[in-house]
Amino acid sequence: MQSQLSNAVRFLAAPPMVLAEQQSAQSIPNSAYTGVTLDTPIYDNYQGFNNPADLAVYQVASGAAGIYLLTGRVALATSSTTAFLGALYSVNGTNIGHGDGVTSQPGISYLTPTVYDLVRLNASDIVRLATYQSTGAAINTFIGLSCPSLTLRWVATQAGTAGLSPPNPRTWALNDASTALMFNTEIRDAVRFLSYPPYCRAVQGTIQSIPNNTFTTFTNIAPGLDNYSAWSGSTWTCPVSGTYLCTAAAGIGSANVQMGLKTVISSVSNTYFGTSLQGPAGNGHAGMAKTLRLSAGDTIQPGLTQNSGAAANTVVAIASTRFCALWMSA
Amino acid sequence: MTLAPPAPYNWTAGYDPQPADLNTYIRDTFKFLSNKMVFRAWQSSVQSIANATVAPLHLDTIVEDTYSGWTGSPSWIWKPPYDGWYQVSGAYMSAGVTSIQMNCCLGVNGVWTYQESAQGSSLTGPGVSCLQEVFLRASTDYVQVGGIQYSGAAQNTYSAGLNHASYTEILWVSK
Repeated sequence: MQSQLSNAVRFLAAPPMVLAEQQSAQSIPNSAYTGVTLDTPIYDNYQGFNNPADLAVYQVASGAAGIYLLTGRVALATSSTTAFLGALYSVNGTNIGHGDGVTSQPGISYLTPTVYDLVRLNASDIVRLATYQSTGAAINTFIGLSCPSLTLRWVATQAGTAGLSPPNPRTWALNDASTALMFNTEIRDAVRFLSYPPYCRAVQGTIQSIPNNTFTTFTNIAPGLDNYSAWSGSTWTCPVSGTYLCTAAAGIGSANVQMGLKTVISSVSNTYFGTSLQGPAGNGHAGMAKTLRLSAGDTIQPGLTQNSGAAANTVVAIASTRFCALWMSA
Repeated sequence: MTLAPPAPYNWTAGYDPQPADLNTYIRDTFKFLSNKMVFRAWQSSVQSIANATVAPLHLDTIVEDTYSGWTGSPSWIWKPPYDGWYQVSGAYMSAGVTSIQMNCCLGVNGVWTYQESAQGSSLTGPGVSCLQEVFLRASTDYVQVGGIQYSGAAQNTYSAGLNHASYTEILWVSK
């Protein structure tokens, strides 16, 4: 009971997680992917920020491998109206996921592009929040009302038992016989489901032409993570009823982009919109995060609208165009 | 029924668990972990957002608030029932911000620490979303999602129904 129940619950109720911020401004060079230093760990229950010689490094601790939800934001001090200002992250030196790519505005002192993603991490993997800016000169990060930060939260194991239902705990009575079958259902299967809930990360691998001013779902998108085999073609089908965090991101060769998640819930079609932006000419990146309560069989087709005046191509480098879903609760 | 976050028992050899133990340490634990406290709301009425000032979103339509943490007008805040980490997602949609920076802001106790920026576009109802885990104390803390825009004048939020409006969603994620 100690290892199978109490220790499992201790892990699930307080999984590996880090939130670190930057409180001393950093110079970001022009046109170079640059790791963002995070000098102030706010919470780090598995001591991943343990390299004082390189404050940009988060190293996954032994025993903490898994699927992580990553949220990174890079506040930059600039008012450039033409430069690309982006947020992304790397694992072991390889750029894995791109987030927002936006421009600033005259007279405004800062802006904060952000990246969200689900990422597979092994023990000892090194994660860095990164940024890219093309103002033509070095600029500083912004520390004030906003600041750079990185959050990583363990959300699932990399391998496990799929196809289970969320726990439906029984009420124990005085004369219940505590059999192996009952413990397998009430403890083993509950832990198995909660440590390996449905998750999906699907990434576009081939450039797609998006017509002007028409909501268009992504094509040529394939899942790298999909433990319940929920992705097919351009559609994610909810495998288990519950509350899901859904995120989408897109890179698009257009100045105006609007992210959307087209959902079919009980046969009612809704297109949920998130971030819209005017990116630098020909290179906008947008993202969105939305929590939805879904029934098994409901579907989502991520997509976007752009109104550059003509068709525009998506960006596929650094997994710029992607969709993620994560079961959070019944 | 609302439950507290689990506090696992330290089992010892020879202890014979009673039904009350099993209900506390198995039933209630997995009920809590699989039915997390959830708050979801969106804005159906238009709200004027002043220039260059963060304004908390006036969420007038509550979809669900399983632990009754929400206080509406004039506070527009969500308070946690228990200490812990909460995942907050939200979006600020504007009716009039085009080609100007707009941020979705996430604030704890009135301090808008976490922001995401976009430059408003000429598409209808441009918006910007945000996502962040924050630690909240039950007795003292509250969280809000807000918006700020720099158009030089007040701008209304945009609401075209559930699917295209400002929103906030909160879930418990960790002790």
